[in-house]
Amino acid sequence: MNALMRCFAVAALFVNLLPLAAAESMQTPAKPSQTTLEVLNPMGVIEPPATLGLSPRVSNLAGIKIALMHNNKPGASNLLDVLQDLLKKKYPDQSYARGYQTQPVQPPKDPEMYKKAAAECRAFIFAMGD
Amino acid sequence: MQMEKLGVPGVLLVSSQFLNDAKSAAGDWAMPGIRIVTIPSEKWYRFRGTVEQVRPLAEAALEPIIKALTTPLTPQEAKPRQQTSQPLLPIKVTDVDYGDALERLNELLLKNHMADGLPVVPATRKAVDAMLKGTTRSRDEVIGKVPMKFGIATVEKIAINSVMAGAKPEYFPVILAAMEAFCAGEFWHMMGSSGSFTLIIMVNGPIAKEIDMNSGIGFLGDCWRANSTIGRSIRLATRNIGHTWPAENDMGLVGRPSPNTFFTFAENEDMNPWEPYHVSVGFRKEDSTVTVTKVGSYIGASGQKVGGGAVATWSAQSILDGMAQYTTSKVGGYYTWFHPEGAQALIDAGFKQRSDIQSWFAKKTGGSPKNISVAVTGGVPGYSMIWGYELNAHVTKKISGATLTKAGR
Repeated sequence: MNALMRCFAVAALFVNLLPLAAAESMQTPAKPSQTTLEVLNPMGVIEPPATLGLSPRVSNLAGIKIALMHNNKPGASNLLDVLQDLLKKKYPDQSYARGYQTQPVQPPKDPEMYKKAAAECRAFIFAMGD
Repeated sequence: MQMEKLGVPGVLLVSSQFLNDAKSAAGDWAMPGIRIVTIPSEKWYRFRGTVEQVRPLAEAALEPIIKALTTPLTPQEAKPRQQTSQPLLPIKVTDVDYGDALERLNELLLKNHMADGLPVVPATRKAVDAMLKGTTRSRDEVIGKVPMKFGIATVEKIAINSVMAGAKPEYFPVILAAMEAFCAGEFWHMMGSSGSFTLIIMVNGPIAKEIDMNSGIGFLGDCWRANSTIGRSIRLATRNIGHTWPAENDMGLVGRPSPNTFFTFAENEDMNPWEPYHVSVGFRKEDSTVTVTKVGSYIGASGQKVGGGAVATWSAQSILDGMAQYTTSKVGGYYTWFHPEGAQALIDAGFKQRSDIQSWFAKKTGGSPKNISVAVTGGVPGYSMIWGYELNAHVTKKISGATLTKAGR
């Protein structure tokens, strides 16, 4: 990477950078009559956590218990009511756990909630009311 | 994500408008590949209110949900590539003269989500070094991590954003203390919430006068450089260090009130008949402090004006009653701001101590007196105001390390 490009490697981790902006940043070297501004990067360094993979999927939804969870935002429970109804018609021997929910934009009141849900259920559907 | 981490496969249902936000948050919490099914936003918010209305949306989502739960993982989903940190190198622009270079810089910063929509001051190395001269603190000292993406707020990173905001080096210790409050682990920021919450930044103590902060008429307004640029520094620092952007991972639907500078001012201690606010929460009168509070926007107790200002007549009781109509929660806190005449009228009416005010409101709310914060703001004439806040979103920090002011050292 040459010096000019290095100066211009505007970086951001996960926020989308616009290609247009990146393209604009590649300029020809300054002529004597031109003005150059070099500024420090205002973005914060992020230390990404160890990236985790997903859990293996279930091979079949028949006969399993599913946690129907939500974040207590309006409508989420209604959506899960219908989904439960639809799933039950498709998989009559399925069962459901409905008591697991977070507070709106806050963690669940019960800090053990996820552990309890994980112990009870083979899969989960989490409806965000947002 | 917690369930996936515990070995249970699942699917997240979000409205389509929140898809980017959900993906962003999934990456923040180490699981960028979580499976998501979207519900069309244009229908979800209209039809979520009843089971009957939401049924077609659930029917449309059913097969994608089943697929998300049963389709075997791809190798990338099972073992995703580790997210990596990228170097954040200087930014350089060149143009025919300074004005054009500055314009080019501003365009570039905004396109790359590093600005706030107003032109910024170039954070050159020289300007940043000058800003750092306002504090004794090391440029590498970590103040905290800034949500939404928990970027590391070093003193230097905050200085860069403060230069961009147009702040003077003598303001910098105030900005650092405010960032300490914002980054405090206990501070519930909600700067990504659709509720469009915003921040109040109130400065107390002798530093406020030294840096010429407005505490009188127009205290929430513009035209005072310290008020405007301290607030803007916090705004830019939270955006840039925390990597947040509207409609991506900041879902404030109507925008945050006073969006570029938050509400930044000094308590009017000269006209406060009680002790200054910071003394009421345990600091010494000669200390300088900054109190950062997250408050709601455009609804209920979110800056309601009470009293008559220059227009109508009022009494101590009418002010209290006017505020009390918004004190609907007994679990939250209330930030009560009395205009100087209102405060004096309350003294005359028998509220000799700040605690008398707190007790009066506590009886109204059924909550604790300590959850009522009392400050004196504005000039003569003025309005009293009331704001609601969560108890974990109201933090006061002492200003320290100042080099260019007598206070805050």
